[in-house]
Amino acid sequence: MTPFQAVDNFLIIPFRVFSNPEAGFYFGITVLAFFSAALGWGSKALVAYANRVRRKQEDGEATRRSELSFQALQMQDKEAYLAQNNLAQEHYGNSLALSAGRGAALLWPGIVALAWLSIRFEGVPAPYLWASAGPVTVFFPPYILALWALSRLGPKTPHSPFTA
Amino acid sequence: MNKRSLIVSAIAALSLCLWLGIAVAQQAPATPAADAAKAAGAVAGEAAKTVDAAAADAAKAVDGAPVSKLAAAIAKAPRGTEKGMIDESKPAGFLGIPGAPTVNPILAFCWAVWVGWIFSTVGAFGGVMAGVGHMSVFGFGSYAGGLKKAVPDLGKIVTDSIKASNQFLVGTSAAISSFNYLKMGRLVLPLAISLGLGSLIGAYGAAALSAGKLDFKSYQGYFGLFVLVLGCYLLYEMTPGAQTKKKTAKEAARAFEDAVKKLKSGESVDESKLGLHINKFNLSTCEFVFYGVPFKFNPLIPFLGGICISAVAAFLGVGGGFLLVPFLTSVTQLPMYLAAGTSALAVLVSMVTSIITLMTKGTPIEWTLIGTELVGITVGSIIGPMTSKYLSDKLMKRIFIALSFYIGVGYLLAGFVGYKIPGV
Repeated sequence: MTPFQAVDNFLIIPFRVFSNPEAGFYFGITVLAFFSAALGWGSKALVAYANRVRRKQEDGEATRRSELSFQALQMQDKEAYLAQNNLAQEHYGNSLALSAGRGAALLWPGIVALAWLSIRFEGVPAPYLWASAGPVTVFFPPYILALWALSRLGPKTPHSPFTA
Repeated sequence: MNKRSLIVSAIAALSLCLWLGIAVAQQAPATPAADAAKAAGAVAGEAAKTVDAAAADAAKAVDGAPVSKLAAAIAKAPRGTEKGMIDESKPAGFLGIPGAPTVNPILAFCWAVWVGWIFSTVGAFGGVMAGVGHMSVFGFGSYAGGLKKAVPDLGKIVTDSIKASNQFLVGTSAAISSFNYLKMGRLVLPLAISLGLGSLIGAYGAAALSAGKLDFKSYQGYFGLFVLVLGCYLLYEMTPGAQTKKKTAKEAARAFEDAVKKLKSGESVDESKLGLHINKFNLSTCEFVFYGVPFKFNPLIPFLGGICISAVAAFLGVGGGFLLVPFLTSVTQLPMYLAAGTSALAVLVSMVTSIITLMTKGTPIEWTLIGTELVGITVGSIIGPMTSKYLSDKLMKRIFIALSFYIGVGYLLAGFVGYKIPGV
């Protein structure tokens, strides 16, 4: 058995729960979407945990500079404000690049699921929808919904693995 | 409707556009909608053994049946074993094209680990490396370049796919950051609207005008130019002049910090002055007060800036955040605290618009490759912070400056002069 066949055998299970093929199709895609979103949040939490020290350092320094720039503003010192703002820029850039890992971790299961759907259901139109609608079309709404729903769970502390 | 609901609605609308864009881009042949038998067959039967759907579609193109842009380009291509021809005896490779390079998943994964490692240690240079992977390491570039004379349409489709793939990998940071900043409320709505609208127009314009028209050699040349400019900027930052400037700014900042420390004892912050208050917003003026200090800018400037920056980013298949933030902080003098969120949202708008435009124009995406690369970036981002403590920041910067020059010059020469230097 090839690795693809092993994955395929696992992912097709929810599609075969119902004897009705249309029901199985929609149920399977919904389960796959929620599973992908959950796996994505799980791996994002892992990356966030691995990056927590550097993230705290970069975000912390950017925040400190920002706070100082606010104080400069309050004291009507525009020169100091611009200097602090400029120094915060570098840390912001690093923080943005750091978030690429968390973004990739969040989205990889969804993209892998899309790849599998494209191979397994090549040329299969989605039942009851318009002609060009395929499994990928059906996959997106529950996937985005699941990502949003899961984002509501977990603690909301600034550097918690559960926050974005 | 408050600011938060408006932004949530905007993101929902973007997601809907992405969904519809992909739905349209699928362009499946017109068949009865309720083709349940086909679905049942796919569910019950074995999975497809290959991904050579494009090749199968190409056969339909010959029969006159409706097919994708890729399949039509394959069908039009001359057959043969020479360079730039479609060799049907070879297995389907990238995008299902017979004879196209097949990427070893282990290589794709390892390269993406390297990209993720850079993202988590050095910074935005990871985006450049993602592009280098698609163009040079996986061999898509030389393949697309080789198609230029015999099958120009196919070469351009492959180039667009490379561009969209690059954007998928770099766009993840904008997606996660926008979400993060949205939750913190760190967005200036009028600025987000003017910048976002500009980004949307710029990205759409660049993607729509270049889709199917940009050959790989030109793309490689422009990408090389961009990397070279980036390298020059990084080199400038290392020069004594730039270091002195930075040092002066740091000293000014430190002097201010000391002054604040002296004043701080027992002093309380005037709560009424905290935060952002927008006083006026129309087509020519945006006036707001931040921490008691008035700011004013013309919304047309970020709008035009958004158009230019997003057009360049979409054309090159890169992020654009590295240009937007300095633009915002220098033109609008907006605090970084607010510029960060606003620019991340603008990058996201630009990315989604560009990818949707390319896909609706018939650009195929190799989902399997993107998925493998995202897994690699995830792993690289976990490894990065564990290993970065053993490396000096200065040394890393020097290595990446050298790399940017080598890649930049290499791509420029290969793209515009036709001279190939080893490795690129």
